[in-house]
Amino acid sequence: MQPQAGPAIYELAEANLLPSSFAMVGLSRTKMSEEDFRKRVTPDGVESHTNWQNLVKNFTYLDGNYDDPATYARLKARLDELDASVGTAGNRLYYLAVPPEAFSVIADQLAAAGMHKPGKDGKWARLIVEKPFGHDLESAVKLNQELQRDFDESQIYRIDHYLGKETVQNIMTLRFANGIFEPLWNRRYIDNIQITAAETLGVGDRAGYYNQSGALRDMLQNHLMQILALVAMECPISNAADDIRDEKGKVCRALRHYKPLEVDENAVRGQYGPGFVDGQKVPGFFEEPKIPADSRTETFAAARIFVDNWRWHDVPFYLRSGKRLARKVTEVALTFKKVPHRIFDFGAGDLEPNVLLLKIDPEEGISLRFGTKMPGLTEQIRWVNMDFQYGTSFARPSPLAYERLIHDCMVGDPTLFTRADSIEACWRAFDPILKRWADPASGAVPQYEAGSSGPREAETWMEDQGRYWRKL
Amino acid sequence: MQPADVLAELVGDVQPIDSKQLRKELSRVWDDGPQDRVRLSTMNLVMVVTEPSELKGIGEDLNLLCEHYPARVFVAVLDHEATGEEVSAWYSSCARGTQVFNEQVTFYLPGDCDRQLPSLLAPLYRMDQPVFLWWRGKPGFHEKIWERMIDNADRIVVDTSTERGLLEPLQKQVRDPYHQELAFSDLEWTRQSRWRNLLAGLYDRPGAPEHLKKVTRLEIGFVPGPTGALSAPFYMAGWLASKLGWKVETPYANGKATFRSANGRAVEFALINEEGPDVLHNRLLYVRLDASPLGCCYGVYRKPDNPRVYVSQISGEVEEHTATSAPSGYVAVSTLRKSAPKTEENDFFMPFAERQNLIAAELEVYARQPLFEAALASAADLLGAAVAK
Repeated sequence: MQPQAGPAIYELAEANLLPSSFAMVGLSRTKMSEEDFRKRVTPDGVESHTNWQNLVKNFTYLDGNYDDPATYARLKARLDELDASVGTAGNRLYYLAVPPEAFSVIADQLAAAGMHKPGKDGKWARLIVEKPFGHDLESAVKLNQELQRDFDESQIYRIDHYLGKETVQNIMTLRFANGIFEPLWNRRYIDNIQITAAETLGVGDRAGYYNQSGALRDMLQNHLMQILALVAMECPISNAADDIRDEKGKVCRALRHYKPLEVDENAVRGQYGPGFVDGQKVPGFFEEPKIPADSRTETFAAARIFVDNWRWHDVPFYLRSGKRLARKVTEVALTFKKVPHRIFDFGAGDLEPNVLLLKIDPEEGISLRFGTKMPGLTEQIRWVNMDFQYGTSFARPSPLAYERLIHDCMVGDPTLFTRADSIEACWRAFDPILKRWADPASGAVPQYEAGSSGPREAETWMEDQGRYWRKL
Repeated sequence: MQPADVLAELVGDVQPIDSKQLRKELSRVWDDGPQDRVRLSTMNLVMVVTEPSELKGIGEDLNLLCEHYPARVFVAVLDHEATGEEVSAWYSSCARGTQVFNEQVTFYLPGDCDRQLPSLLAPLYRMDQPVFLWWRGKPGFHEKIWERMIDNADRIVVDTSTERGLLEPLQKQVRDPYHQELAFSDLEWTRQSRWRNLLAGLYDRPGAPEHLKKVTRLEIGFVPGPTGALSAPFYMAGWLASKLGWKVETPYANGKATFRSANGRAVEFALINEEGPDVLHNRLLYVRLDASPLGCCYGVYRKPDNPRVYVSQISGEVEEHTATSAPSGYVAVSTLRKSAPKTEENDFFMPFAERQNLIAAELEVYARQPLFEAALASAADLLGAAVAK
């Protein structure tokens, strides 16, 4: 079970957004009592809440092998029982929080048991799949084919929790519900866009998985690309899911594909060494358990992405993500072009560009950076921020990302879920980078100190382009 | 009493906080306090102190400073002499009404705990506000954490009067291609701004700039201090050399050097060490430019009986403007002619710059300063060549 799912279901119940008849069946290979399963999904501090106790009594558990038809026969029987006892009436949401190699096995078994088909009278069956959606283009195409063999694309909900974050959803509202931004949202006014997801955590107990994955697969190709698509897409003709997903898909299809040697000019990577994070000494990547000494897996990745269309011609989108960096932050920074003619004598310094910052995590909000005259008799200019914070403008806290996504899946709104065509288009753009980095001829992986802003190579790479990373 | 406790006393009205949970602690401070408070901040100000006793009175100084430059302030005390493995931290804030303009976290880092400092600071910076790093005392160019500290900074303020031989390493820092985005400055340079203004003012009169092209000698009187630092006279020489296009021909040695001007003239540089009271240690006594072929001399001096009074002096045969009256409809003509030898003097009162005034001047500057950097480059040339030799 996805660890965030329990709290999400609790929040949905608290907000009266769960159907009155709701039940959950946990299924895994682990032997576990129903009581233990209920404990496991119960969020901290709500054990004694009446609402939760009423809800959790309809949570049951089965253990079994994913490839065993008998497991699904028992699951089907249990679901049918719940239909009768709780009144769930045949709607099915299958949430696959399992290793990726089990996705198609489970989908096949569900289909073989006849559990994949929507029921009569509008009853639905939907499948939520967690990333990774393949580890390269070939495997992604194969996975999509296997899932679509059993389920219709409209039944498949590929979950990307970044899309459930309030500020990410607000990108569309900011762009298309306000008149002042969209006229500036193009190559004429924007110099570059930086999308950053920096973490302070190391690979920790995910080392085994992470060593097979790396920052590019784990973050850039999916989470950051989904944000990029929202930032770069054209205005959809409506708010309908497929109108939005069509526009996002066009962005993914417009991504420039690099030739192997072009990768070196357009992407940079790194691996963290030991250092200090939050004042604590932390081990380097190679000191983490399960990391082989010859690992070439990157824990930091940055790439310059181009969207080859009319709006974004030659505007670089810089995607950057890494582990054990100086601070935890996820943000989108749109840096505007500088004024064409300078009339102010502002010391020796250059006039700074305006920056529109979309803060996603840990702060949620938007700020606009602009120059203003300092009070007094001089012409000095200072750069200030006009800030909007979700936390201070709205009394209601933002819903959890999974709360929003599970709710959307239950009501059949796939807007915030990723479609197969977009996934494959993204892999097409990122595959050459993966292949190049896997090639020893691409050179040694640069190292960086834990707690820093990443490898020095990333800084110089950016400076060589006449730009700078936003400070972490 | 532990060093950290002594420190808490020096810092003033503070409360200890758990350095391992700083962010949570800071939130708690705000959550538990009055709800109508507003944080004011235009910058992150990091002050690194290598001598704990320097903290005495610093709280008051910072409050005065932050009243005009609201900031989130971090004071980091690096006590290399102390033993210990625990970082201590204190929190304090200063408000006017409901507006908190100085929110301060003080760290005490004994022994080699300084390695933790950059990682403690990074998550606490107010994002999108510049980071001013004020490294008090001997600049930490060779400290292990220097590069990490400046990694996250926008402005670096040091003071090269604290030790001899700091101009060259500072020049290396400024010229480092990795530091293109950083704006360095030196309090010793800022201390001399009045000297530069007075000296430049002497040449405001008509005809005077011509004399600058004919300078043959620069003489600087200086009172060395116990640190042996020479940055004050060398900044002055460097500033003049960079502005007037002089290149070092004979590097500095034994109080002398020679420049070559753009028009091929030799300019002799003499540094005269003078005796002086403690208050004048590391300070200039006079700067004098001779244009001997013209028989005139421009200089700025401290008055011997009151070092806070400066005298700007022009002596010798000075070219003067003589205006002729013109009939209506005609343009008045002024002509230049040499005056008879004479001496003109003007007195200016100038108090010694207080530390907080100096740093306040630095907090006004956000960008790189070409004037300072050019002077530093010339000064380092003059000194660096001397060292190399």
